[in-house]
Amino acid sequence: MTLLRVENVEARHGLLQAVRGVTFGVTEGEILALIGANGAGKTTLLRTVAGAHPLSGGLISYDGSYLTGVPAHRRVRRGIAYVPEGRRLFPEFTVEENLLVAGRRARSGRWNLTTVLEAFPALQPLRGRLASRLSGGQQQATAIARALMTNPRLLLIDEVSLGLSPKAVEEVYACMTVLRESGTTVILVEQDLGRALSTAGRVICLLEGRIALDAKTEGLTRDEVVTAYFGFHQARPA
Amino acid sequence: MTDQWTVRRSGRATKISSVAMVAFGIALFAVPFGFRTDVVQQLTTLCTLLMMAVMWNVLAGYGGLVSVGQQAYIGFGAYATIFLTQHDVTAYLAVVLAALASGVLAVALAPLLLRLRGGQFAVGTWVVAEALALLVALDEDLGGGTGVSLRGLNTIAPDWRRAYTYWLTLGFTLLLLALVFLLLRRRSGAAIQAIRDDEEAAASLGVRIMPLKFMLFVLAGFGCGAAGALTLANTLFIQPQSIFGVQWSAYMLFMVLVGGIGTYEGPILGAILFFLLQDWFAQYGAWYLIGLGAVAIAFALFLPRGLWSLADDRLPFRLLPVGYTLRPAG
Repeated sequence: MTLLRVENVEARHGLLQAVRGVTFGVTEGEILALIGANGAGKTTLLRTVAGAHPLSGGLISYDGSYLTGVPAHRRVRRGIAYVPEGRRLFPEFTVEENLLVAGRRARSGRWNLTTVLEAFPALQPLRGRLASRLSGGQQQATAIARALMTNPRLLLIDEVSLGLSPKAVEEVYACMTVLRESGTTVILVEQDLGRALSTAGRVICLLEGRIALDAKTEGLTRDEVVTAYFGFHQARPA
Repeated sequence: MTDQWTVRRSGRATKISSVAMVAFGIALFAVPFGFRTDVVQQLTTLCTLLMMAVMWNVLAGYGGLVSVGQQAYIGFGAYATIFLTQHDVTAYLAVVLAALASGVLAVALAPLLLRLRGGQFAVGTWVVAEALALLVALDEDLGGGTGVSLRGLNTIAPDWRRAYTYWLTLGFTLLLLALVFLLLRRRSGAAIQAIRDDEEAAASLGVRIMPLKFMLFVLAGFGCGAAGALTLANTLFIQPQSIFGVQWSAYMLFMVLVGGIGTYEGPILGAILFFLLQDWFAQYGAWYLIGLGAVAIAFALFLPRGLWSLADDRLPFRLLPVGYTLRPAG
């Protein structure tokens, strides 16, 4: 079943057109990685789906109805959660308070404080700690846990591993296993191509706001990814 | 399998301290029976300052709406009281109605001002305050630029007048503190503080931004209007350039910054400190104001969480149950 349908979507930053006529669908339970160089339009596309950035053209439908004009907080009630770039935790709140903000008007579902802390055991000893005093990996885990508290059907995660140490990246990707097992549909933006291809079942590569590649990760060759990523064929060694 | 977790809002110590604070607030109603009238009048001044600090903290500390124009509601509350007494409304009823009218003014201004962000919002609120001051100064019925006295209270014996004004001011102060407490206790409390920290992140978690900002804006308008009306009832005379003066915003900012922005107890502490500084050093004129500025800068640099943070970091419990604590169930 197609959960999200993005049709000919366009998004701008003033005069700059960041996303140009992008079309794709996401089926329920799928993990999709959005990759591309800096400025390719990945974050803008994700923010547009979340309702954090205005749509300049095209349509986005979710679970059979269009999202045009639906504000971000209503999209959350419909089951779209967004983990923004840089985690954006509430620094003056403790971990538990960050989780409770998200749970205050959550949809019904499997995720609540108990199940989230169970799924993210590393957060249990940190629950009383201020978010501003967490490490990068702990912050990302809290941000994903916080988004899960809204009981999403579609989870959008921006720049999963950006700025994290290799150990923290390991910890965060352990969270992805939880998401996969829970059957949550995920779109993640990732700069680490290796991680993206090993985690997602499908990958979309954006190049200057357009889709340069949309393929299953299984069987995808390095050449195909590099060509789409940089927009040119890599010269083969003689 | 881990334990089940439950959310607790308060422990035993918090409950005891909350009851003690409520009892202290109620006991303050007895002050006019045991103290001189000048003490009563000074406490009335302290209460009005406290109201202003709490309201500015609601806006800036909790809602992230840094206003430098709350004097618009202070002045409007005072002049609405004058206007109502000129139309044969009794003075104390006029004070109450003026506070409500200030809330209505905030409702009317909210669609315009809440569109603005950050510095634009700050400047916008100031512009509104200046515009209102000019309109009042042009109205001769309201005393024009020279000021106007409150009629209707001179028939009451001074001691009783001060006591009545004090009781009304204390009543409003406790009402506003109770409203803020309830706001923070409800589920909206965490959402409001989330908006302050990161509006976009809050929206991405399902927080409705505009209705909450609207609620804070109107509450602050009502509270500042009440403070203005009660300032008039306490001093009996106002001039547009003083009651609409930007110094009120500076005072509010000082009290909240020094006490502890974004905390419930901080503005109360800040208001008491500011009142004492005003009482001790106001005769030094410009040097007093320079001193206030220096203290505010020092706090912003070296103790940004304010005086309350010194106590809060050391207390093993919260004085009031406005936070969340997780405990294993059972």
